[in-house]
Order: sequence, then structure tokens, then C-alpha cells
Amino acid sequence: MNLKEILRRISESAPTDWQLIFRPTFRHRFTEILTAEGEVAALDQDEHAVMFTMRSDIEISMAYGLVEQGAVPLSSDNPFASENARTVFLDIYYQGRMAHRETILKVDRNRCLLPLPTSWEKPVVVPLGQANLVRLIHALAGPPTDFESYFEQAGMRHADVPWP
Amino acid sequence: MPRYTPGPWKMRPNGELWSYSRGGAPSQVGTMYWTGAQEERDGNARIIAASADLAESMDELMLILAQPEVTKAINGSDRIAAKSKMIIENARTCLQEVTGKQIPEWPKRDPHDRRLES
Repeated sequence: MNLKEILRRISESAPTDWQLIFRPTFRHRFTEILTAEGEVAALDQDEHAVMFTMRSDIEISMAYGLVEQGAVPLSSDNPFASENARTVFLDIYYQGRMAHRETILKVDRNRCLLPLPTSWEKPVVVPLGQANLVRLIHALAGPPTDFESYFEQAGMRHADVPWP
Repeated sequence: MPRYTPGPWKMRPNGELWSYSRGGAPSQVGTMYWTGAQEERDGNARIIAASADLAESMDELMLILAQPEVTKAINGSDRIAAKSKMIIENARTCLQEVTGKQIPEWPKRDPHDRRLES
């Protein structure tokens, strides 16, 4: 099993192929809370919101929900620039070992998950596998909104390019 | 909804409200000058500090409640239909106040919001 094969199997899977396991995930992150002066005020801990295990092959699992950037600035010509955006991690595991980390963009103050493109230059090109992966996570753990309309509104286009 | 200082927010004992948004430097949202009862200040601080995340969660909750499968299930249950409508109406009113936008009465949805699945 290689990385591309794992990602292909996940990207081509359906939401019903996954077993959801909510917190605790036992995969915690500890973060220093700093004062405005940069001094450590406290330690905070958080974790992914949910884990997914592939029903047909439990060697493949994912964890989703840790916030990477709480406030992501979008350029003023981005249709979602007027609302808060953030990025979150999707971690993909094989036999419990992290195999891939995908950063997912949440736009419109949490109303849709989108792939994080390498460039926002129009048209915004997104590898098909990456788009399918984020569409899957949107269906599994995202808000009940239409991924395709947001994808189109963001000016994104699928492309048959190598990924990851 | 207008832009707002990203969460999570935390209230310090002295009434300063800070944003500890992941990946960014801490920034002060404002300072609360407490005048209420001493024993209520911790509770008040918690409500204020959680409000940014609460508003986003409520928005998402209202979206899922407006999905046809959910409205059908709620309306089809004599046991919970009436009280559910009242609870959802209260939530809708709160969310309107937070977002400053008109939100249709449940189970109606904003016909102009085509981002929601049909």
C-alpha cells in the first residue's frame, strides 16, 4: 500500500463506508496560551472533533477538526472575504501511523468546507482527488450545505493534476 | 453576519476579553466593567467568552434543523412537534439578533440561499 493508493481509496469512498467515532480521540494537542507580551500564560489542550474508520479496511482511518488557523484572511475579490474563515486539519492514518495531513478551508463562517488551493489565481485549480476528499469530509462532518455550489462560487475547477 | 473577532474568546478575571485564535497573536476584544453580583460574574464571563463559538454552532444547528428529513421527523411526532417549534423559534430569534439577518421561520428556508441542499 502506498500513499497515493490510500488517498485514492479514501477519495473514491462514500460517506456510508465510514464508521464515525466521536471524542475522545486520544490524539490531543497542547498549545501554549500567550499573553500580548509573548509570555506563556497557560497550556490549553484540544483534539480532533471526530475520527473515521473505513469499515471495509480498518487499517485506514482519519481524524478531523483540529483548527490550524483561527482566522484566515481571504483577498478582497474572494466571494467569502466578508465572512470569517479558518483552516482545519484532516489527518489520515494507515495502521495508526499518520500518512497524510490535508488542510481544509472553512469559509462563510463555517458554512462550507473547501479544498485549500495552492494558488488563488483564477481559475482556481484543484486536483480532482483533493476535491473529492474534501467533498467526502464535507458530507461526513460538514454543515448541511451544497459543496458544489460553494466550490463553483469560489471559482474552483477540477483538474487532472498530480496530488498530493 | 458582519465580521467578528475570531474565537475562541477567553475572559480574564479582571474582565478583559481576549481572542486566542489559533495561529494568531492574542488580541484583546474589550474589557467588561463588572457591576453585577459577585457570584454571577464567573457565569456571565463564561457566556460572553463562549458567544462567538456559540453563534457559529447555532447557525449550523439551524441549518440541519431546516433539512427536509429533520422537519419531517419533528412534524411527524405528536410528542415533540409543538414544543420543538417553540424551542426552534426562540433559537431563530436569538440567531437573528446575533447575525443581524432575517432568518425565515422554521421550517421555511431562505429561498435566495441556494447554497443549501434541496
